[in-house]
Amino acid sequence: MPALSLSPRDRLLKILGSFALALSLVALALMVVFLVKETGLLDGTFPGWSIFSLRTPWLPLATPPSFGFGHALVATLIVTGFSLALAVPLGIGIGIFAAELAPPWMGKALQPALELLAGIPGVVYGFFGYVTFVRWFGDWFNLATGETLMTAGLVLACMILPFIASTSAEALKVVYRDYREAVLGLGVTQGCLFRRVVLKKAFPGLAAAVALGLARALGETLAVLMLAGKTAAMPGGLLSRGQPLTALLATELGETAAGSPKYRTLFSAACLLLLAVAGLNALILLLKRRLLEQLHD
Amino acid sequence: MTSFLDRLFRGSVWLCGLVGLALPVWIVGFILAHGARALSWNLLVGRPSGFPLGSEGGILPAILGSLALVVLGLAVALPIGLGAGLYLAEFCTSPNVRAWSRAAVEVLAGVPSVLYGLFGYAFFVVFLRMGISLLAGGLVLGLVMLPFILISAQEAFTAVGAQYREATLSLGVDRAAWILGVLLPKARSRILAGLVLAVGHAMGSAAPVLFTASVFYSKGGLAFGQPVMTLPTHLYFLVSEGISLEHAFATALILVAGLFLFNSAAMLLRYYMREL
Amino acid sequence: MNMDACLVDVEALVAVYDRVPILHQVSARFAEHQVTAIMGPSGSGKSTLLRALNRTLELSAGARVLGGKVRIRGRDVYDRSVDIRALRKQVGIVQQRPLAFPMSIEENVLFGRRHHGHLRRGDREATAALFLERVGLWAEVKHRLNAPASSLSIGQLQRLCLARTLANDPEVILMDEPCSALDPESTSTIEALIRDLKTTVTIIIVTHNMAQARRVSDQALFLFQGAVAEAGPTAEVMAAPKHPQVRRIIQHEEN
Repeated sequence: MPALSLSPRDRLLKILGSFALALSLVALALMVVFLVKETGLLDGTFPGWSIFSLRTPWLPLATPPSFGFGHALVATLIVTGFSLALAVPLGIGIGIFAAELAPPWMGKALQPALELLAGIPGVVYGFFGYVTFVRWFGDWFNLATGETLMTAGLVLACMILPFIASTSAEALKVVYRDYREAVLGLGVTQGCLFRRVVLKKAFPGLAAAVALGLARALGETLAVLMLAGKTAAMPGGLLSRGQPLTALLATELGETAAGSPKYRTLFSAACLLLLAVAGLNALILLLKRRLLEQLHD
Repeated sequence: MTSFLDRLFRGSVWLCGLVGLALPVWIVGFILAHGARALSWNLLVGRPSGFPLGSEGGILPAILGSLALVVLGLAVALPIGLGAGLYLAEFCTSPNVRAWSRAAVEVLAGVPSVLYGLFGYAFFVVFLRMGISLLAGGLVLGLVMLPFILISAQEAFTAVGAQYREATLSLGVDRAAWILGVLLPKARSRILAGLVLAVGHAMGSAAPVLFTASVFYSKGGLAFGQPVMTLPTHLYFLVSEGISLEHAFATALILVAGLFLFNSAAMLLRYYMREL
Repeated sequence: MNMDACLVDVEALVAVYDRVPILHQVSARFAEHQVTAIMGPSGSGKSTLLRALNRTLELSAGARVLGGKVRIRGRDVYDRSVDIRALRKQVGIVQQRPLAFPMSIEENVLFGRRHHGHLRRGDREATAALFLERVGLWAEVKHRLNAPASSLSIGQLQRLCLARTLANDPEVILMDEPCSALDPESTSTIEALIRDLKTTVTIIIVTHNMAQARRVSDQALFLFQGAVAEAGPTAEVMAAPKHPQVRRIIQHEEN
């Protein structure tokens, strides 16, 4: 941009604008700082690193009370792992479909379909899962309640699917456009084109898609709150009930005195979540940049 | 690769595509079908009643509460987001500041909404002693919408600027004239489209307002210092307390239909923008 | 042209791109073991015609062949029963901008051949050597067969693409302005290869360079606005063009 020569009006606008930017950045920084502050790390009221250990149980009402949220970490792992296992192959498949195999009208219909999926709020997904899968799983697997980590994982997969699909499609479209003719011109199959050429070239984009799905899965609250079951016990497997991290926060915050050890524990868990998701988002930005660079080789 | 494997590949990809098309139709259709049955005029304008509370009557306070929160949030996020986006697109001379600000905002745009809720509780509700109130919730929602509004404003201004800035400034007018006379009008529909999506997203989020603004029942009067009912939290309460599945369906329908309207409005605006 | 020596026979070909007609009832014959140059001004449909011959045209969104026949050894390639992949093996194509596949040089060369099953495990390096030698690349890459193909210069890469196509044992090789992205030295290398290859392979080359056509081709086909303006042996057509547009192009080139 050439050097600015600003009139008084311009200067006013610039000042207002920079003030707005400063305010935005301060607000976002404040959020991070405050979340960290509430863990007690800065003033010595931190409940101790044992809260991250899987061996510390969650027994806030016992004497002495124990505030380990390892059960939530394991539940989060199971739920997000399961949802990724479902949504990643399906989402990449949709991406290949949109980029290469779909007839034009179907490809065009896919975009609003995925936007619709992405726009449905988490609480509605939770509700939907409640009136469908929770009922069905309770019957099929003979459980006291169909609220299990698997139920939550299944619905979570539906929620992250559109993000994985559209991010993959974006990357795949570019790679297919560049390589389709050169590869298929040799008389090889679509499967060969994908496996030996497209997959390698689009890999950063596909990795970004997976990271995005993971970030979304980690952060979803209401759906897992309504579907994973309410228990502070360590989950044993997919069909166990569990309490992923976000559900723990949502459930316990309302019943916690500000400043108490339980409060500090919850905010420590929140900071862990923040770190994980922020890290993933930064990774996604890097991967997207690498994809762009790679394609200009 | 044999012909069989290739057909397997193509078949699986087709299957994925069909699932991608059918899934939203199934989910939305399901809610539509069941919710339409429970929908009534009374539901939209009445207050919760019956025993247990909420199994009869209407959800007007929740609708009003959601609207109030979003309007308050917009009142804060819109000027700040627009101003910041304008600054980044038009006045910021350092590419580093631009890149890092944008990166920070993008990273935080992906932060889970529950963390906004936690921050809102610790900061607005407790620290600033606003209590669980419309004000606290509105400010939190503003914070939720801010990154989206900032990013879409910046992108809109950058795109329009690339096309028109040089031609306009070469007429010798100052930046303010360019911004107010050409940039803002031309970027308007693009920003509106992004805004609509941000609002839709905020309105459907329960986690930020769950512990900052919402309450299970309120008569419907709106005051800054009082908690409010909201559509997403009301849906949650109806389900988690097992109050009324029928009303839950209707509430879900209203939420989804409202968001669908918002999305369609965004699409129409994008289309309108293409014709400019 | 001797009918018996005709390998590719195009009859009344009609092609569109996004409903805009590009080729209007084009008929042409391409002789076996000869180099035919397709020429004409931009937009005359040269690339479209070329790509229609091995059905890579339909890989471009919006491009379609609406009518006519393309017969190779008597069989219409647009017939429903035709195996498109086998067709593309038989009729290969070298594009304007060479594209390295994300794998080693050796894997690039053998990519198509391996897929069509004409490769035995132990023979990889020997087979790659064979085709790399034919395009004159062997000496330059023999000690780095496992290096990624993206490490080659653009001239080397174009020769690699030619080797990749040759490794399919095609009967016909289509070339779409293969030298336009290359420097003069690489260009003459490729042109020498073309002259060398025609004894075993039929070559059809699109070029806008008259001098190049004179150097490498035996037959010439001029397209103008999607129709055949003139066809015949290169020397004859260049010396005494009958069609006014063709005359203009040749005279323009000479000035």
